[in-house]
Amino acid sequence: MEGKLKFLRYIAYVIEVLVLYVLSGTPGFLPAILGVKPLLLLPVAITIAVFESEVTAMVFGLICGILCDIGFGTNIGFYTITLTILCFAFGYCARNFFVTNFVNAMVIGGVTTTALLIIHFLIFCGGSDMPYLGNHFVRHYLLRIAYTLIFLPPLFWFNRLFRSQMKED
Amino acid sequence: MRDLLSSKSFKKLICVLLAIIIVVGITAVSGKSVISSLFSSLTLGLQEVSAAVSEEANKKSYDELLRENDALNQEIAELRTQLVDYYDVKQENARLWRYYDLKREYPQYELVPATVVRRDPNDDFYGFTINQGSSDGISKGDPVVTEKGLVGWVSSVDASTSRIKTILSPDAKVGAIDCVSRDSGIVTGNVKLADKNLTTMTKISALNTMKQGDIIITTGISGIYPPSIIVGEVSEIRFDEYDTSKYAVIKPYEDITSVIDVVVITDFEGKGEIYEGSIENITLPSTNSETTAPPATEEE
Repeated sequence: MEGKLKFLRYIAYVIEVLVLYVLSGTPGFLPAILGVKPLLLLPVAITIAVFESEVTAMVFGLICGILCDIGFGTNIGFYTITLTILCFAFGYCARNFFVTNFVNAMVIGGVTTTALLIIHFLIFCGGSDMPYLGNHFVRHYLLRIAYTLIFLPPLFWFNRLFRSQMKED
Repeated sequence: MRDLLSSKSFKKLICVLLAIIIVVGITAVSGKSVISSLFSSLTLGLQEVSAAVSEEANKKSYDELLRENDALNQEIAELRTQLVDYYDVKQENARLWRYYDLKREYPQYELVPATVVRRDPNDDFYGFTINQGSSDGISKGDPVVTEKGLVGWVSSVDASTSRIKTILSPDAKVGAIDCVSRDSGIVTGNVKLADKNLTTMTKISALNTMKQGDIIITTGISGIYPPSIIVGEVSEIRFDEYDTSKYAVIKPYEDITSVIDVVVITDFEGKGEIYEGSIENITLPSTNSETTAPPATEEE
């Protein structure tokens, strides 16, 4: 029974990840604000990670990272590696160092999303000779961070619901 | 921390990271991303279904499209009207700027800006009708100019329009002087040259020293044309076909054959007064056109 519930939960996570990946790329589904759309897979990976063990968190971080990299039109790399490591760390910390609650999840999710997108900007745009870099950062990256963070609370409650409904006693 | 580093899960993380690095390396070397292709294939069907649903949901009904089409047509009509207004205002603005330049250039003159409203197709010398008449202060014989120089004179006038004859017409008799050599003569049109926007300066001295490029201006001694109005520049010097006298072919700076906006000089200092001194003694005001012009004399 225990294994069955866990398996069902993982299946639910996989479906959630795939559906959100597909929806985030579906034209006309999510409205673009000034041409910017949210990165739904970042909060999904983080909110799954804080509820699961480090290995499970790592696997979903890996899947979300690969999908993020594919969604960005690049080869797997940046998001795959960072989300794999970070989700592993969040899973480990959630089990050993802090209690998984709404505030902690919001802090971890907010800081991680912001940091990841800023690092992404520094790596992929910072070194280029693109004109109006500051404008690009504000208009695209800051807006994307803000837009992505809007989805953090609902995804947290959603994954918490999964966890509570399909939890082994 | 030691527990973490020695744990099974950490070893799994290291293995996964190594696997990722290997895949990234292979992808970088081969240029083909198997993982990307795999995930893309896995999600493609779902993506297509999602896109189709979204497209269907976002489709507009026939009535909505009809309403949108009507609204767009109305908007196009409004914008077209605005565009016409814009061009009118733009043209008016350009015309007023030219008038302002002339007014600044000749502060001593009374100027009336006008627009060509009609060109008579039967007039071989490009005469035209302007939209200002006697009610605007225009009278017969008033000179007509643009910022580039003399165009002609008012040959007849009624209350709201005036008929202009150009310096391309053989009827023109404008006293003029060469700014450089100070040779004087009469500017008059020529049947053979009018089509090319050229006029002539006749009655010039046999010993003249005029040359190509010299600027010709009005003298103003008859009191009909003000002094120092630019007529054009010398294009060439020719011999008259019927006698041994010479005449100069003058190229006006303004394209008189297609001029649209003109200015009528209704009053100026010395209007109607015949200058009785010597041509050499006339000191002409400087002009700030593309070309500068010294003194002149005139004889109509």
